[in-house]
Amino acid sequence: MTIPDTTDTPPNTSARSSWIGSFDTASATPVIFLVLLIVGFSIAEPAYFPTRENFVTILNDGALLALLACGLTLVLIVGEFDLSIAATASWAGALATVLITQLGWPVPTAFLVVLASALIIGAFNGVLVTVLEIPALVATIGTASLLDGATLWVTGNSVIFMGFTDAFVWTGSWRIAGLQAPVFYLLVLAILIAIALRYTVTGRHLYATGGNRAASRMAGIRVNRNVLLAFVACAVLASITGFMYTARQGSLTPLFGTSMMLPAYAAAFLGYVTLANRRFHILGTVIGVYIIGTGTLGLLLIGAPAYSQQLFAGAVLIAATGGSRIRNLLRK
Amino acid sequence: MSLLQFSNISKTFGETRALKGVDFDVREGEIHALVGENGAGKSTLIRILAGDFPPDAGSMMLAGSPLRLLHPSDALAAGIGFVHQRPPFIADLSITENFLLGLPYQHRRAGLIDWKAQHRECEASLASLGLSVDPRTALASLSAHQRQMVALARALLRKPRLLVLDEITASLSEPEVRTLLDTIHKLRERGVSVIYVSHRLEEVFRIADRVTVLRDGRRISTTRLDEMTEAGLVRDIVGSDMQDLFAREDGPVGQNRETLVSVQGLCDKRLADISFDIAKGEIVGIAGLGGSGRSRILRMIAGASPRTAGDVLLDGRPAAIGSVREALQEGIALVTEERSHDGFVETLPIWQNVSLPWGNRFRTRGFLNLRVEQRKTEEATRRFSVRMPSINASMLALSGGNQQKVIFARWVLGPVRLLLLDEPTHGVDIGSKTQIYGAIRELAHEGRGILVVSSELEELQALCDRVLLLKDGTITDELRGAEISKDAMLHRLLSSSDSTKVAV
Repeated sequence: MTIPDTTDTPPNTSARSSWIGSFDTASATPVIFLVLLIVGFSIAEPAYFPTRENFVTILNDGALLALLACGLTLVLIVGEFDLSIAATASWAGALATVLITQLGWPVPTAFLVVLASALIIGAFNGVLVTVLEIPALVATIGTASLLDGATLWVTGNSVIFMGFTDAFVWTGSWRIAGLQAPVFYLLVLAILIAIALRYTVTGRHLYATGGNRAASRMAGIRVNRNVLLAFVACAVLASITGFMYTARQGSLTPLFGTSMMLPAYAAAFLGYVTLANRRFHILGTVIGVYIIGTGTLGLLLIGAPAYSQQLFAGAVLIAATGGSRIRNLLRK
Repeated sequence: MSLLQFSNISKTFGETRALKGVDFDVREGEIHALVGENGAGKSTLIRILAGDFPPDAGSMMLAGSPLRLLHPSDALAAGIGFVHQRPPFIADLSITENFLLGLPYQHRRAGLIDWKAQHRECEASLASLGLSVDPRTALASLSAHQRQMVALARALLRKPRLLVLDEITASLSEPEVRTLLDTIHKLRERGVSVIYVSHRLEEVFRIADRVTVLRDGRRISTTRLDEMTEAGLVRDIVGSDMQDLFAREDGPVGQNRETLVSVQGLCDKRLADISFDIAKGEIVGIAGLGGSGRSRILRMIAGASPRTAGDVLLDGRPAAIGSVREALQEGIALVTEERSHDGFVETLPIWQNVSLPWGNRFRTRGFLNLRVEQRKTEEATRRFSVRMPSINASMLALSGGNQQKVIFARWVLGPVRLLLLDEPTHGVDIGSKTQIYGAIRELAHEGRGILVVSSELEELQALCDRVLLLKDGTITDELRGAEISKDAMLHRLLSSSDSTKVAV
């Protein structure tokens, strides 16, 4: 018997549209906002804002935050949280500093040890969440506290600036055409992750895991493995961020990562509604970072008080994530 | 005399006209059935009546005075009570707490809640509907049917003049439906009018005085049920004849067909020695009462529930069913009952839901070939004539029936040999139902084995070559071919009276 064909669905739409989810005007709003910010600050501060140096500064300043936020994005995609990213970055910076400046290890070896520690941290978080079924919010706060404690212990809770080798500093501060090393690291890693998310089975499964765990399991997807993988990848990116941040600074301030955590979340959630309808994705996260970075620097240039940057980041985040709902309410 | 009058109700959502000038009345002391396919406008109408949103045009009169509903509380205040398919209860709270959720509590003098009085009140209300449970226990301990009773008692607490029952029997088994329908009959004797929304026409005939049919947002008919035939009602609902909805199609019944699956001595905590065979191309059903563990048999075979003993042989060789993943690799797939819970991933577009288990099949040199994937998934959905805006649309844009067809498309995309179907037409409208039945038969014809669990015995009657009867934790009997009828199944399931207390 044949099934009656009651409808003729139009032949399929191109594969393109799902690269960014379903595109609509609401999802373009953050990008438009970024353009308006640039135009607005350019008009307000024509001498300083729309300059090549200034844009290079914005790119350089945002790159490491973006790297951290890309890792966070992976964890958010599988539907979890990681509140240990800042502590992981701080720890990675401290570990590298101690190994290189105090124990005299070569930079590549130190980097590999930092990566190994990242694997352990990520796997630890993943096991707490999947095997022990501790809510990620709680588990990663625990990890964060452990890591911060370890960081203070190895650094003696004091700033370290002695013994930074040129090789170490160079890894975070080499430049091409004014653009600093982290911008290139970001470019390469963000593209790799974005491709993996879209064009590999694992990437697809990460999204499925975050969308509906029970349904994913019934489709034969190894849900716990995916969650673990996301935590590991996140810890690796946070550790690279911490390593490069310290190298670029040429000094270590213990717990320097703390101030990066909220902006990383803000960027990822901005990305959630950017060029996609409520879907975490790498391009969105990177755009989110640069919206915050542009606003922050612009406000600084037009002489706004320092606290206005906090106000800006908070307001943008809330407006972005609550925007569609706010619009609906206004329409009523 | 009419209690509630709908006049010319219209509602548009975006570009969809959900309701177009609907008018009918519900009389005092009447059970008025409201039927129609998914998307016909029933839920929109009910939600307007609940005060969830206002109609774009039209008005409602309750007992002769205009009904203005700006907020859900207005509907309750006007004396309209609602019971939904899944009552919004909080499983961890006690029955009493759920019973009184959102209602004022009785307090003692010190301002403390008088729990003793509350429990007593709750217990008495439930007892009046024939449910005797300890109201102090957590709601989680109640069955779906008992929860429905709690919801009903809760709605009655406000002494409504009109009670709206929205698909309340959807997840209940036959005897449970009977007790519930009995209860509703008694309510009418208390003078309560009822709007009864259901997909199950048989229930409508059993219980309602009149029936209103909606189709594509319009009222098609309002008729007394004693002047209506089932065929006529189906015609009104789908807009064409579908008398063969539950008609059996007896193919060559499989004595000489090759055995595909042999289930041997499957046990878990409450099921013992479940053994049966399924031949290639055979559709086998499991009939059992609610709570008999019918779904668990499917889940055990699919690797989704633990088993304490037993084997599943595929082509005579034990299949690895330690996990869903392993079972899938053996070619055993389960279509679950609650699609939105563990069927599809709502954040992925339709095509990715179709290909979800089969990512590896679309890989070339490690990367997904999205073009091929989209083409193949689209072909699969077309085979089941899924009605959808585009293959890129959200699963949530589809009706229940079309969502189910997408799930079917998923399982034909890969090498599935044994398909386990748990309530395959749960929450599916009649039009899609026939298509899904056709699809199931076709999948069997292609040589797959099919095992169906359904609380609708007509469904088993319509589909199955054989029906296994599950009672007291094991398979007690089997019906074949022409022996399969709803009466025969029900008779055997209810025959030993020790395990079942059914009010008929």
